[in-house]
Amino acid sequence: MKGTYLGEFEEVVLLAVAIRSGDAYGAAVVNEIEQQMGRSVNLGAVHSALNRLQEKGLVSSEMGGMTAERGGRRKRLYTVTAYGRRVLEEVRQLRNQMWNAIPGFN
Amino acid sequence: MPDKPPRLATRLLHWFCPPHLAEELEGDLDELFQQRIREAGLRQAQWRYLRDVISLVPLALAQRNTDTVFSQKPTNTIMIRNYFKIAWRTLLHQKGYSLINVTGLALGLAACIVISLIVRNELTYDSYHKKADRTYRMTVHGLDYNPSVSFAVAPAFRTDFPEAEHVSQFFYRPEGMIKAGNQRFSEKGFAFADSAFSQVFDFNWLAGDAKTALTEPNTIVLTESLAKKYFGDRNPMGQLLRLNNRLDLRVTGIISDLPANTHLRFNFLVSWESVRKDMDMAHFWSIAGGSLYIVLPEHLNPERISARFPAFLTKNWDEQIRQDKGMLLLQPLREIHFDQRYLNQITMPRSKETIYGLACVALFIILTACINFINLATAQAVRRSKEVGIRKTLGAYRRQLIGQALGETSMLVGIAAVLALFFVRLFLPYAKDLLDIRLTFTQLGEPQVIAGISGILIATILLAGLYPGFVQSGFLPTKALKSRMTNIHLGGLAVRKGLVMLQFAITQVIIIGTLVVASQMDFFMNQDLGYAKEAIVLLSAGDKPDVFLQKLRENPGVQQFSFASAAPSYNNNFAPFKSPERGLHENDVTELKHVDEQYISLHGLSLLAGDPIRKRAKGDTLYKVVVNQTLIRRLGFTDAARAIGHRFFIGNQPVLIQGVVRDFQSESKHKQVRPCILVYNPGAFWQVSIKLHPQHMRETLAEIEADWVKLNPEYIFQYEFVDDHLAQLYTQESNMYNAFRIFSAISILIGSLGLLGLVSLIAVQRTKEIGIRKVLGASSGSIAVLFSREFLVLMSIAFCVAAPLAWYGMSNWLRQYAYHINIGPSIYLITFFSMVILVVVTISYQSLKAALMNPVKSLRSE
Repeated sequence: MKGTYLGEFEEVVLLAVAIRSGDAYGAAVVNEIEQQMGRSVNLGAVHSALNRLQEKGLVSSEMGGMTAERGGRRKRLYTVTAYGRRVLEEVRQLRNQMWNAIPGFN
Repeated sequence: MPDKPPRLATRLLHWFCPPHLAEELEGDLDELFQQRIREAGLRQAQWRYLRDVISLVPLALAQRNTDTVFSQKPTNTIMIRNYFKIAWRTLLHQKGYSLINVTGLALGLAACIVISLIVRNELTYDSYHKKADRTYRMTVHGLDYNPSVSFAVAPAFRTDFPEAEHVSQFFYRPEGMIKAGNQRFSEKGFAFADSAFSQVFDFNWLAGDAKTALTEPNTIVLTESLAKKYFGDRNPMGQLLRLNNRLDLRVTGIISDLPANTHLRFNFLVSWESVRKDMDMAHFWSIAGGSLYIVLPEHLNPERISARFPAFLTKNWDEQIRQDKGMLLLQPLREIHFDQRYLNQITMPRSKETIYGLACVALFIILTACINFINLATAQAVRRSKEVGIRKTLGAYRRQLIGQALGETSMLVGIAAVLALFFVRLFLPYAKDLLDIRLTFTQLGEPQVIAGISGILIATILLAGLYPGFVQSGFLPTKALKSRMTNIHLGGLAVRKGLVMLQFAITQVIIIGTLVVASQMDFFMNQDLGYAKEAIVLLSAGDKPDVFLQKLRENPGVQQFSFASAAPSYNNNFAPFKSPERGLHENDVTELKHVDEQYISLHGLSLLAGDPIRKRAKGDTLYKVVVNQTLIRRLGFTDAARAIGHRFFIGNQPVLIQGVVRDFQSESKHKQVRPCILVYNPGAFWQVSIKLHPQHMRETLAEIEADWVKLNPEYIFQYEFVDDHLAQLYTQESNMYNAFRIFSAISILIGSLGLLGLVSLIAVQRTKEIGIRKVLGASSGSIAVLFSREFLVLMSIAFCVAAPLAWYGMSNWLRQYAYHINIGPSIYLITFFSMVILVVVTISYQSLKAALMNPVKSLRSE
């Protein structure tokens, strides 16, 4: 967690991309977050987060093939990079470390 | 039909969203929208949609200018790259066609650029001086229009017209001898000028002070090249030079060499103060006189000044004016170069007709080149019908196709322009010799010229590219793709025929024009002038004419010689004459030549009646003269013999006619022959005419030179052959002739190039037709005729248009000459038949090739 600061929402989005691995695009991420967290998010927020994650090198993207859905428009598919995966693991480890440090919790 | 998201939101999205983001964002929005309709209903979905769109605004705006992997307008760059690729491939694929097109266009552009430079040079004569618009030259209209006025006028004018800003006296001398160190140089053209001169005209002063350089007596201002010639790298300022073995002058200034577009011609200026005291300042009618330039204050109508001239003349020279009438005129500085009333000037005025004629030629040439382009490109369009068909099927807009055509044209024009500049570069060094106009390549860098050339290029692109573009983009894709298109589908056949006709007409107008100029030139140079011009050399009599005469007598190479004031081809001495007895009370102007008794026979003047010139016996008070036919006609005689023994007056001196010679042309043929008087007067024998034996001219001339130099050690030996002098009188015409010759050759070349290209394309398109004709029994000859006939018919129709047009234009041009040819039928016949030959020769190769082709080959595959 030294070099990269990962905001709370960013972390959520990154996790959503990881969950939807292989089919993670804007709308899918929105759905994933809404389902998992039960709160509504704006598409704009998701896209901004995805952009920031890409700039930080945590995700990469490419345009997907054409499909019959969404009027033939293509999707931009995001995947978590190796670096992104490592950052996620680091975050989790840190959290665990802190959880473990709470006295009398486990 | 699924429900639509709110229109407002979609619009908003389209408005702010950069194209490279639109697809994915719209996709996401649409997917979520459809999903939400199912889950939460339409209203909710629409509401969320709107919120999402708004939430996307900052992101989209931030991404607007970033260049991601997918550039902003992927389709355009790819398309443009494709255009270039296709254009390049077509260019290479059709090497011959491209070569014809580009060279033709380049030649046309080059000619056009050169002519524009010439025309610009002509039209900007003296316009670059700051006060040019209010500078006038004062001239006098007495018996004749005279560009120079007496030196008496300037001081009087200064006193009587104090409002004039500057009054400058300028006295031009055609020749001067400068002694620098121990070397003598003869310089053509210098002038005495006062200090106001540098205020009227803006020169580029490299050294010295413009305001004071010419104030003091015995000062001289050199042009840059002359300073280099005399002093090399040394500083010329303050150095001494000796003029005409008479005046010692101190260099007080250096100016840049004069530009080409000024009527002033001088290599150096000597201060007016150096010679002022020697000049006749009293008489209004004085033989010597100079140019007088005045600058009027701003916003002063020059007519307010010239209205006061009669009073001014009466006040200062009452008696003289009453005796010989005359009027002062103000000639605007910028008109000087075009005003042809004044012929005795340093630089010959050029008629505006000539200049506009040249401009027309430029226009014609570029038009011919454009027509070539249009014709070839339209014919070419057929070959590319498949490409157009496919482009259209894939969704190309019409304006995209026109844009493509224009783009390709621009590319070709661009290549042609580079080539053209290269041609211009090659040609410019010759411009001075051929056209007597100094043009430099650096002139091309001036903003006006750049703008002009860009204008020509843009006009060419539009002219040459638009029509083919429209034709090409108008193809119906189904037709274009279905079959091989033939010419007929184009529908533009009439237009193309019209264009070819126009081109023929232009070429013929230019040919006729060139022929007329050529025959006028021939008329100038070879017509009987009334005097001999072979092997006669003219030189100055020098300081000791008597000794020189003896030397000439002893020289076996000299056939004959004569001392006189001027040879027949010179004209520099005028006198008024009248004859109250013959009803001629007013003074008329005549040429007066002082000659010796050899003059008439040496110059081959033919005596019609009476006796030739004789030496005058001592104490004889009556002058006996020989006159020309024009003079006796003025006196009312038609028969030369009748005029012998009659008396008339030169000025107030009574003279007796003792002989009459046939008219001879003393000035250039621009002017009518004037009355002329030959009189014996040894006091004015300034010039020697020497007739040389034709075998040893060079040796004889060397001997004469040796004798002359021995007698006149202080001078430089100079001579001129009569025929050279005559050629010089017509430099302007021969320049014009050269220009016409060069540019008409270019125009004809471009025209034939175009014809060649067009015929070869048509031949290819009509292969099948020719094959069928041959199978059905047509002979090779009849097919060759079939090809030529169409063009010959077009050419003949064009001729009917061109002939009267050319006649009208050229008669106008000829009218400026006092003696000119009539445009006879021979010129039209020559034009017509040379065009026939040109057409037949140009298309013969292609038409024969087409005619001789084996029909099996052309019909084999379908």
